[in-house]
Amino acid sequence: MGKLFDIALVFEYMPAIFSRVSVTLLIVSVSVVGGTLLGFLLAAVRLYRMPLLNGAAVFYISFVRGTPVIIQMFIVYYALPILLSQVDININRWNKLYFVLISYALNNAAFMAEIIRSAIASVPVGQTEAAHSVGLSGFQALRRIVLPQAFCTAFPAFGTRVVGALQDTSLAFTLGILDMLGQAQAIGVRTYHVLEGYVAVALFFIAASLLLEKGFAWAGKKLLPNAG
Amino acid sequence: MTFDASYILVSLKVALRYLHVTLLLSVIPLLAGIALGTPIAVCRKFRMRFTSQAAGVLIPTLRGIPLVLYVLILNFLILKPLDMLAQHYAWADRLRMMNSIHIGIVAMSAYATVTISETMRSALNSVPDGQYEACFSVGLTRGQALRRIVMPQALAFAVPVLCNNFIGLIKGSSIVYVIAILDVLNGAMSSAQINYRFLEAYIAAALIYWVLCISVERASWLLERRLRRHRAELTTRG
Repeated sequence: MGKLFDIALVFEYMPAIFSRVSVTLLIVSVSVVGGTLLGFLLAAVRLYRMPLLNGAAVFYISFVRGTPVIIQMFIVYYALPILLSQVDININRWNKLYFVLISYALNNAAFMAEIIRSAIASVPVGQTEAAHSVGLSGFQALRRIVLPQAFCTAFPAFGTRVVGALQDTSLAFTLGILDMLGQAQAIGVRTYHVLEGYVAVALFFIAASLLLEKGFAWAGKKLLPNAG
Repeated sequence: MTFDASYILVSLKVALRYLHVTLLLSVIPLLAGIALGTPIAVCRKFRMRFTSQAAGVLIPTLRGIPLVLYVLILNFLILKPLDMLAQHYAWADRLRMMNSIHIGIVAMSAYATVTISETMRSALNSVPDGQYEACFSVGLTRGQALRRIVMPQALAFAVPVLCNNFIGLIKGSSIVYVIAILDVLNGAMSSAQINYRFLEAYIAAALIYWVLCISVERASWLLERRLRRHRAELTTRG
């Protein structure tokens, strides 16, 4: 066993590790897009207080927010085949990546639902009433009056959540996904130099988080009125 | 493989035996984070020389690193040098005075310090500058102003966020399973190693984390209400 840490190796491993960046980005984008779409559904269920469904949504959101994403991932991994085998669908040969994508989308849905719900709830009822009084229909009032205002409230929280989702993807390797961290460990097993790989991955996460944060701050300034 | 709910109870019993480990791994980092993060936030608030610049660069950088990397990197950084020393001096086996739990606590604390220093910074920024000016005008020193006027107000702002951080730490503590610490998650898993009921074991672990997080959320709500009571008085009178 040679040196504890060799900075040259960080750069030597970088190409191999960063070649897996697509996996990480795929998980982030699918989970954010899927999560946002599902989040809208959940938020609608909660805002319109649909009977039964509302209770289920509260239960679901509380569960997802109250348990570690790593456990959710494994629950999806073990439970989904059992559930689907009830309706005679066999997914035992599925790529593990699909399970990761599904569980991260389901995870993000709960967070997005809360962001969307609280943003829409923060728009005063008077706004909807005013819209109705000038003859807008329910949907028009939502689309033209409420959602644009809700968007301004939701945007910063959305940005924070996307950065959070990016960091959460670092756990996908525990299911055996060969993402950047998985690659770093594979290199570590082969060469006995695991720290250098970790540092390379850390550098990626630092750069990506800073970039996303700055990007969202910039977009917020451009998009939102009265935000300085 | 079918699903059998009775195995959840079996795993639950085993996992609960390791509840204290999960609590240790989240409470100590929370306290360490507050103890170390607050001075960092104060340094940045008052723009103290060197420290504030260093923190201004380090904190946003370190915030980008996921918790699992803190755990993996610190585990390596703490264990490997000890290992090398042990080899060099031909100590028997590898050094075992460093328990994995301690490494987990150190890693979680490092992560918590970074997160909580940001919480405290935004809490300090939530107090208007006029409060300091008012303090100085009646002759309070900066330390007095901070301790007697600003901190109590900042704390009311910080408590809900700190509770959120705490929930994040409780959930995050499950990650230490990558360095083989027997916490709630690994405890539940250890029961599944015997009966192969992995799904039930994960559900059992999830239930424990869920109850913990809901309790903290509830406590946060009560605490917040208590801290807000003076503020409510002010607005009704004002």
